[in-house]
Amino acid sequence: MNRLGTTTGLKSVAIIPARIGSEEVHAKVLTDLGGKTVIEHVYDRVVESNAFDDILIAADDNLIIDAAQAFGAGTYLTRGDHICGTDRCAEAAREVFPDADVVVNIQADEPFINPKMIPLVVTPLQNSDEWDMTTLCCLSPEGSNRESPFTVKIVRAPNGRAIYFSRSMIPFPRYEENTSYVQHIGIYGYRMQQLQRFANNGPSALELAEGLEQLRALELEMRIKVEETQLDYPRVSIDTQDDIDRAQKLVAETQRKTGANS
Amino acid sequence: MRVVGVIPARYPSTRMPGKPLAPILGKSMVQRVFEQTSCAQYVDDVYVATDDERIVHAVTSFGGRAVMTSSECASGTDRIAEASASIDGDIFVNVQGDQPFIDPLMIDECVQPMLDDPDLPMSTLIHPIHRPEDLSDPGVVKAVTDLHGNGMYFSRSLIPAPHNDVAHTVYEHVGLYAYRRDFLITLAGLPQTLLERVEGLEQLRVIEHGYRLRCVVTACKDNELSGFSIDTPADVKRGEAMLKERGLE
Repeated sequence: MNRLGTTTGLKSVAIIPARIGSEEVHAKVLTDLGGKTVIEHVYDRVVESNAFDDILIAADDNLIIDAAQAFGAGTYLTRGDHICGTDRCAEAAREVFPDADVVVNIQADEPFINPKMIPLVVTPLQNSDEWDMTTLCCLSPEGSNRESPFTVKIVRAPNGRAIYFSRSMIPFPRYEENTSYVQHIGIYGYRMQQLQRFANNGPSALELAEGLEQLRALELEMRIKVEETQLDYPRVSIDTQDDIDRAQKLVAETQRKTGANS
Repeated sequence: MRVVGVIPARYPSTRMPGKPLAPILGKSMVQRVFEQTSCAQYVDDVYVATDDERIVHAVTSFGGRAVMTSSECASGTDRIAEASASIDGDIFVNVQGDQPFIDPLMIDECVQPMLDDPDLPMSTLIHPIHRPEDLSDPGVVKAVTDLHGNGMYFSRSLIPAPHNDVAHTVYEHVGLYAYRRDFLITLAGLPQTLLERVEGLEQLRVIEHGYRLRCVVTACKDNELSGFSIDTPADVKRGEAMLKERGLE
């Protein structure tokens, strides 16, 4: 699976951070979706992306570690007190991949992530020293959930640098009503050094206020390249029973269409 | 370092033509701004940059100096950039011509980081918002800053968005700017940017082009008075009342 890595000589690894506790659903990443757990769906998509030298599941509980080992994933048991996925990734990367150059953080609760999207956060870090970090966005059409605080909006500089992420409507449309909004997709790539710097600094004021870990990076003056993609995927992140029901329906439909039983 | 205060003052105004000359308790608005600016410790010189001879005349008759600039200037920044060509100075402070009660201390606060950090191109002021109604008012511009106090973004939306009931401060931007001479010329030549147009906020051009804009939290307590902007004859009445309430007439 060493496709991008070998061309540049940079070692790229993917880490899927997961935790057992969650406000609404306990062990949500182990929920069964058509015969596979949520986290195995995510893992399979990361494998399919063919973008990494190595892939790791970093979890705070042996229940997840055991499940991950059962489907053949590399694992690392982390501390239980991390306040965000990036801090968990930083610990795992430091311990397991001390020689990695690029670390990609893929959320464990998004089972339908499009594998073609994943390399988009790796390439800018391999091609240029200009960026400390990468993430993804898509243009959000009129009438989508842009006003919802759960839709995270981004404002970018003309060169694609992230200026700010917010749950508020940014930019505020004072003069041009037909502005298309830039919606964040929560996959991150980090240069190893910057990932460790992020974790060493602890949570920041804006991060805590908005509940958005990426704001810590901006407050530390990290340069985040926001790659835009037209690729789509069902945005189901497993947080509530409603999400699980939707996800199970989606998996059942896919299995019916393809006749596959994977 | 030679610090120059420049007050952009246009004659035309849809709501209040000749606004800079409007008397406030008997003293014109432009003279009040001029005198407040002159009181700042760091300021070596003060100029009014205007597009109209009547304003030049008024300024020279109270003993101030004025420079004529083109009536084509799209913004206060453009007017100051044009004026700076004929003024000797290293740091230029843009003092809004419609804020007659600006506290001279604020001008010094704005200039301070420019003196401390010779690489800093531009600085401005912010202050904590206390009135809940200001949070949702798009007329009140909010600012978020990084750990070094550099402006990350300015918006008419509420930023940061309150998500987790974590106690935090929301800052309002105060439209007072200091620029290094070279950067003022650079800035006036930079193309307009998307976010600048959408939000209608000139300072976003600086951010979008990747320059540092230091935001100083002002220690000035009476923001209601010092930040008061006059746009209409009713504002003049309100401003006069505010001076009287404070025994400042």
